[in-house]
Amino acid sequence: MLRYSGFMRRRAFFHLTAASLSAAYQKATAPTAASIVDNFVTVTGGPAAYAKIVSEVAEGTVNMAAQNVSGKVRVVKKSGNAYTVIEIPTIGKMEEGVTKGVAWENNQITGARVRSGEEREVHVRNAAIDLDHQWRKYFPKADLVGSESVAGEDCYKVVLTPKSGEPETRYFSKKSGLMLKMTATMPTQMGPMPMESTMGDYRLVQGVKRPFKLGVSAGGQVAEMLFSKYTINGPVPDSAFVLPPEVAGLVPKTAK
Amino acid sequence: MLRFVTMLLLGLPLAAIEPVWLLTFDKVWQLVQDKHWDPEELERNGWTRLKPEYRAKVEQAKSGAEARAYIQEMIQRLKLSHFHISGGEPVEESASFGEGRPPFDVAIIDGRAWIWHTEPGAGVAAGAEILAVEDQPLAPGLQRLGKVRQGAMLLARQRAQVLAKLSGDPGGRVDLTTQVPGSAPQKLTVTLLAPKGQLTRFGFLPPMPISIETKRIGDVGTIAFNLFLDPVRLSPAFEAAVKGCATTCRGFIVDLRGNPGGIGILAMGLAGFFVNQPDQFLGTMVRRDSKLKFTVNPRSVVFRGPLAILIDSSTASTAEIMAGGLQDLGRARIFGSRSMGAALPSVIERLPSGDLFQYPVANYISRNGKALEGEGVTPDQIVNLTPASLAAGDPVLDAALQWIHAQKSVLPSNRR
Repeated sequence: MLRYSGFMRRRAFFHLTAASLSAAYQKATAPTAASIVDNFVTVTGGPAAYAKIVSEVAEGTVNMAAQNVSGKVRVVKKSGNAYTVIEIPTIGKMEEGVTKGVAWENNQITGARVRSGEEREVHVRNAAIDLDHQWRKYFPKADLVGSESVAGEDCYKVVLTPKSGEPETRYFSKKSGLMLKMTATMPTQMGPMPMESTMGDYRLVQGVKRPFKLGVSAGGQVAEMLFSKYTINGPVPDSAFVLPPEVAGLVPKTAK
Repeated sequence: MLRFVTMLLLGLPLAAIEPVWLLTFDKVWQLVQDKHWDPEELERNGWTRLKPEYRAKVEQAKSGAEARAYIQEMIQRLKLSHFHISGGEPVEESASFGEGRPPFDVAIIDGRAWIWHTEPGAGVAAGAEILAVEDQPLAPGLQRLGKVRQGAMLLARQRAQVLAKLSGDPGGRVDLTTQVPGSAPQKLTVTLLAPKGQLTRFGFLPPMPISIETKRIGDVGTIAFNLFLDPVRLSPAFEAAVKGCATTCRGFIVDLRGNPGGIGILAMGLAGFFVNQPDQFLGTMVRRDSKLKFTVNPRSVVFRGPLAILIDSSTASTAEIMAGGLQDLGRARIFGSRSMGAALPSVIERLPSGDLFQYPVANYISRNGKALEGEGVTPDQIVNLTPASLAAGDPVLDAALQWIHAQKSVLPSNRR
């Protein structure tokens, strides 16, 4: 049964105007940037499940296949604090984190330092446990700028602009709603560095879908992280975020 | 009929190279096309034009070795450092080191190889020329290199060639013909020593011994190391050496002679033991999509006194970045001879053929705005080596010590 009886009769007209009608229809039904980001929250568990997250711990491997370098990675987040450690044989331990608002890094190659300015802001923002579902707090502006294919999957391309600093571009699958890619120009001590992250192998953890596969490309280096263990709301002691002595010595007493 | 068959055969392609070599060729060409930091410069150098020319040659190659040689030839047309395809037979100018090393070092003066830095019990005299190894005269090979290389790169390649001939299994014996100026040639045999340092692995690089030597020469601290690798050992060794000099050293010497580099950003980290001001940088890595400054993070312990860095024609890449950067910052005085001028940040990837391909992905511009590639670091104090000065000791080290002792004799504070 046809909903419109005049459909067949109006066929010629339909053909003539198909292009403009189609465009008008798409405009009327195209989701907004905000609805796309909200949908990501929904399909990965929903705001209620996100609101229950207090801590997250992900452990796995990091592999730079092109350079034949691999090691272990551990990421911990809790209450606005974050700690990431990558250990690669002969390179050593590369740590970075956010501890009570102090963003820092420490490794045997370049030494210890405390991040400041825009670089600090980005790391503090990324440490927020509610970054995903309370995204409006951190990105007052969201724009849908088009569509793009990511690994063969058609995606919405959404630009999120933070209160200050460079915007992030996120790519959400039109089919699944999952975020498959993110690009941004990261402020670093060495200067602005274009970065691309890809996400895959989403799995349900405590009611929230998390990517167990993360690709990171920056500064000409490509790394793939494969998480084998992902824990949400497990016990994370505050000691997990204690500043290493090399960093603690760099922090002005008022900032600690 | 026979003529017809012959014509048919002539029309057929000759035995084709294995497809993997065409894939390898395409991969190499594309990597350079995609990753070269300056597409316009690449085009000016005819990269697009080279593709059909060399692809046809690879297609006609009769062996993998020949195909590899054509690919090498193509990338050499760019006249840039840090291009290398492993897996081939060693060519004359490449250094193929055995694990064992001679009990001395080699200096090249006027295209001839001379012995210096002899170790105890070496059985050879510093300041003697090496005329032949295993009865093979060195001169022809060194002269051939002189036709294709020049400047610091020539000296480095000549030295590497001689050291390669002097390598082998530890404990093995090598026959030399040497000549002390003014004396008759002498035949002698040296025993090869085990490699210095501890083996380390990184990425696709073969296991390599990392040697780190720290010592005090009177009231001057020194550190010498052969590669910018293994930060797990190298950074603490630097820290210990700097701490050890805390308030007792008049100066410090970093010996980067013979150091071909390694992990680029390690130059930033090691420079941090000598720079106490934040937000300083050594130079800029220029990639196609970004310009990244090699910033220096002052370490928790910083040596603030006079700093001398020793370089030579075999000082390359990360070692040049560190030496040139600290020179530009006015933090170090450089002694020795011009460095190699091979300072392009590079990566190594596996090719479809199984070979490893090292290729540059960025240019490196010194803090003062000069590209190090092809130029190198020019010492503040050039020390020309002579056979007599080699026999007397280490004139480069002596010059650095002399300079340090001429500085104000205020013992530095090492805390930031």
